[in-house]
Amino acid sequence: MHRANDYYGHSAVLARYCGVPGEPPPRIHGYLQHGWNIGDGMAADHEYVAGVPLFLWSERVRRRAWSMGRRETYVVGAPWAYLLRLRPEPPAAPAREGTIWYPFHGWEGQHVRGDHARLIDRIKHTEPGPVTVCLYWQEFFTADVRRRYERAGFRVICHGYRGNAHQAGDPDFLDRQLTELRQHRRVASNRLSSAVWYGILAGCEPAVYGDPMVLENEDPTHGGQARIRRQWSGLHGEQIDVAIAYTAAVNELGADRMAPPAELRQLFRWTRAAARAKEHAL
Amino acid sequence: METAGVRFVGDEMLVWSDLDGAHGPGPARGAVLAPFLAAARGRTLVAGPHAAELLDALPEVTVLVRGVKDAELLAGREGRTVLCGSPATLSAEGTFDTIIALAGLEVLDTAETDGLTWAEILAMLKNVLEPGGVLVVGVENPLGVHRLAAPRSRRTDAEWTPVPDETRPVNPDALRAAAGAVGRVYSVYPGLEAPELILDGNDRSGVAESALARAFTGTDDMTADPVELAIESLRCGVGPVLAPGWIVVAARDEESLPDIKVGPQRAVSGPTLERCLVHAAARQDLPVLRALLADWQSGENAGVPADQIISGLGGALSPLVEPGDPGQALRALAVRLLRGGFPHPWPAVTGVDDLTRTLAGMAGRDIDPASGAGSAPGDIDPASGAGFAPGDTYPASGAGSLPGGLDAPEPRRLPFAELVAYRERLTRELSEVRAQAAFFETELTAREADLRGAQRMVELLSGKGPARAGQAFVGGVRAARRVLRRRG
Repeated sequence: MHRANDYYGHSAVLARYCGVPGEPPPRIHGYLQHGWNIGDGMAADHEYVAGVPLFLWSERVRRRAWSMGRRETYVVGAPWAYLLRLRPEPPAAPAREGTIWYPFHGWEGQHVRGDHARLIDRIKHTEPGPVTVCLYWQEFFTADVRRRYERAGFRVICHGYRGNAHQAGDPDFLDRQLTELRQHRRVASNRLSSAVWYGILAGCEPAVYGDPMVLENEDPTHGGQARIRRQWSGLHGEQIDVAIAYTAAVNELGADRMAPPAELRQLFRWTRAAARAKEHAL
Repeated sequence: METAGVRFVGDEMLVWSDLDGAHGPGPARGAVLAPFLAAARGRTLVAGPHAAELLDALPEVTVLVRGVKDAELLAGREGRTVLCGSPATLSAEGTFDTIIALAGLEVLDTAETDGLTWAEILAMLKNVLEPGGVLVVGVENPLGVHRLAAPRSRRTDAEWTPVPDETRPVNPDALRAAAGAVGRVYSVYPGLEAPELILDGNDRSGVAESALARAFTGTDDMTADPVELAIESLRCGVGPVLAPGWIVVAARDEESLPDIKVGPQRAVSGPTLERCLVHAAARQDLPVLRALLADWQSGENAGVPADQIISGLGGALSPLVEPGDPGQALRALAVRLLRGGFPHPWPAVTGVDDLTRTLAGMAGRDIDPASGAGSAPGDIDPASGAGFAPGDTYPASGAGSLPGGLDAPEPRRLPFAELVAYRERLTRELSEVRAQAAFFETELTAREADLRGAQRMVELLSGKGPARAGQAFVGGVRAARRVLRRRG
């Protein structure tokens, strides 16, 4: 229904899982949650049409969404969880090393206010091994920001372009992210965010520390950073209990609530696309 | 007045029959009543209208009916004494070891008496009961689920006095106390006259729920689903209080009480699988739902309807009926889950077939709606929806049946409460579809504008110098190729 379903290659990952290939991936009949949030799972700036299902990541979000008046909801889990199922970590994977650090970013049109220099010092002081800094594409292409991190001796990368309403993103965004995460022992950020949850589920030790930075015009409707720090206090700090973090990630990414391919195909109205793919294969 | 084989005891009704069912609910009938007649010992009186096949099981019996037509119909059989009239003069007939009145006591009174109360009739029966005898009496419950779920019906010819008098017991305890020194009260479903199921008052098992699910066939024009109410009453521990009727078996002491076996005789304990599934659906517990569905549909019980399976310890499944078609079993569950706005987790479900496919998907199975060919045996036949409108939750007309030999009740007419829920759903869906149509139109307009923009850009670019040079080059190559071909 919405181009946001294709952000980060989410619909492409689910299409692979469902055995429904195609470029672009088939249209999902519904709105797919495309990032971790502490509201009803949906982006505040999107328009939703009545009767169209909302596919959410976790049971907690579903309950919260219901309490906020959302009815046609269904928990399918995050596409990230499906990607991990599609690409299980090989038993003889090379040893992980260092930290992948995600400085908090804003979206297009938002501007982060914060002191990058202080954050860089904090990272250098805290992280024991080599550091890879992953920037949002906007910051990655802002030479000033990128150079600051490079000058600090960090490897600077970008997973790709997310996509927007008029332009398709990189369908293998999440694949690149998974490859990077699996090379690192730790995942860290100055805010608890999707990237940290992804890292935890992919087997990284998490850390959340440093100036969380402030977004211009940040929407405090759902309690903002203060609430995140209260609710998930155990996930903030330089050293975090990995077992507790993993359980929380399973819950937040709905890794315990994944649907079988046949169920997703039916829910997304992909059965015809699947039949066509089957015919094509014959 | 004399009729062969009939003794008139006073107050008889000349142009009346209870047995033909034309004036009221008809006689007490049905195979489930047979054990109560089989328990008769010694000299036996059967008072009130009882179906001939029930009476035939008794070699020696005295029968009391109020209508002359019925008396004549029943007379003339060896070993049977037929009395016609009211019970007021029964004492002249001596005493009985067993007295059975399964159709209730009201049907013993006649239009010719001054109006006997329930207690007076009971006293008349007790008066002719041997001190060690057994009394078996059926009583309708004015607060039974059949009344809670039904609009008040029109009065029949039999209701010359419409409401039960105040002496009639209105709950199992009062009935037990009125009937005798010791008494056992059985719950009767779906009504006193033609029960399909009789349960021991203490039975709250899943097996009893399974039986209840099938006990209300033929009940139409209800305000709510009586099956739901009956099963809920059992779960809440008030099954006997809300049963449509009771049969009390009373005697002087415990030793004299006959042991009557009623209800489904299955020694498996646990809830029905349907109950587990419905509960998980209401709780939106998708992992449990998937596990239950996958376990059910991957085993040998896939074709047994979920309401006919007991989920025992550790989830072990015990079927109560022979398996049918798995697709039909899933479909029956979908019908159940969509009934009457019951809470379930699935968004934007368009109907029974749609939900059936989703349930199959949750069990990890695919259904191919186009070809009907499934990847696994027992896939759902798309023709199973024949007779149902696409996307219909359930046929309001009551037409259509579940093919495939499934041992399931016939589709029933929707109770009023479900019709209201059905209408609300359709109204909501219509407004949602309109909103979606408006969205698609806006989206289409935007895409058309994008396309026009792209076309303009193409035209613009094709009119520029490099594009013209390119076209001239391609034209030249084509011309050269033609010349070369001619030469070749």
